Amino acid sequence: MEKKYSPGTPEDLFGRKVRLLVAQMTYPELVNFLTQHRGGKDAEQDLRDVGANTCKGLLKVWKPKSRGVISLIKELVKVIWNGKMGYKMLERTSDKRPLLVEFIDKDCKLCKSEEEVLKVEGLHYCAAVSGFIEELLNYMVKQGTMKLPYKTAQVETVSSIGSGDNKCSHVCMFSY
Amino acid sequence: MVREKVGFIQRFLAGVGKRLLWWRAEKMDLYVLALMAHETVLKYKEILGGDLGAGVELLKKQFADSAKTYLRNFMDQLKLVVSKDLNDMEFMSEVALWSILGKRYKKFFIPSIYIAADDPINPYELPYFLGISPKCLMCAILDESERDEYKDKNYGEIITYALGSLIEIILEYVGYNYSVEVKETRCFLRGDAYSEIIYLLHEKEE
Repeated sequence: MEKKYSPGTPEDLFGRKVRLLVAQMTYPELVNFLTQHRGGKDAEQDLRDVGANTCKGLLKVWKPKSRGVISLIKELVKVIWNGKMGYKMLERTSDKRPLLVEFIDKDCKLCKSEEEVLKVEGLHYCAAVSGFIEELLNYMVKQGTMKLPYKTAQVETVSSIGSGDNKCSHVCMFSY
Repeated sequence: MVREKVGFIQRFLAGVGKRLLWWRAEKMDLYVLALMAHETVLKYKEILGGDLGAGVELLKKQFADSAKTYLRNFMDQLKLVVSKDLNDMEFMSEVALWSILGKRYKKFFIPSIYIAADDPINPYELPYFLGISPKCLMCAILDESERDEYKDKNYGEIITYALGSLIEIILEYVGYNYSVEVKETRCFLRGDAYSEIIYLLHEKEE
């Protein structure tokens, strides 16, 4: 059998779907390995790195259309796994700009992969998501395409269903 | 009770069922999945002292092991279309791949065919299934500079080990006592024109 040599390109994969089950098979293994070898706090940073670098790769192919922070995050979760994410404004600056925004996911696809709650000090199970969001927000503002004129965004996962909380929350702090 | 051979009615039902399974399933972007796997390997490499091969091997093993657990549940959805006839594996793997990747699965995987131990084309002394990938889910995201580093690491086996687990579970379900050894005999990264995977069947000792 002779076929044209073609291992494929990112464009061959982007936009195609696969069962979420495949990712849900491996994410718990990653979290368990990291907690065993690195401890809770470092494991959390490792998960954030995996999320951020995955987002970097995604942005080589994906061109987000949204220019607002909330709509951008909604577009992101829609692209990754057709998910939804709510938000809550926690704090504004004196000139009414958003300072702290909480992104809330009550149906986290990563946390669904774990059947049992994994409680490890310093670790939020779906911390990879905060790495993803932070990378996206900082990339987009560097492109000069965001309506909100922030300089940087710092995102931290503060609660996670997979770690025993009732919702997943990723808090974003903007600096101007 | 497992049937001896898949018949017309099962094929018809599978045609409807695989579409329904795919439609109902929660899905994610295939590119994001491949990127996550790649980043996981790189993180393992960092933790394991910079050894890329060890990182690939670790994820491969983890994926194969967890696939066995998760895919056992998936078998509940496939049990109507399995049979004891090993020649039906092509049909069974087609249904499974459709249910996992949707209708364009053939872009990445051609369903496995059965090669009997006494088949003249069989260079092994064991029966095996032969699968071909026209494009590789794992290699597609590697850029030119990375491909050389990955070429002797059997990187594509990360995904095929999971498919080997699926074959092993199907065989176990229909009553065979085989363990499956996965070998990537052709690989894009090694310069082959396509990716070829064989799933060797070893009789398990009682």
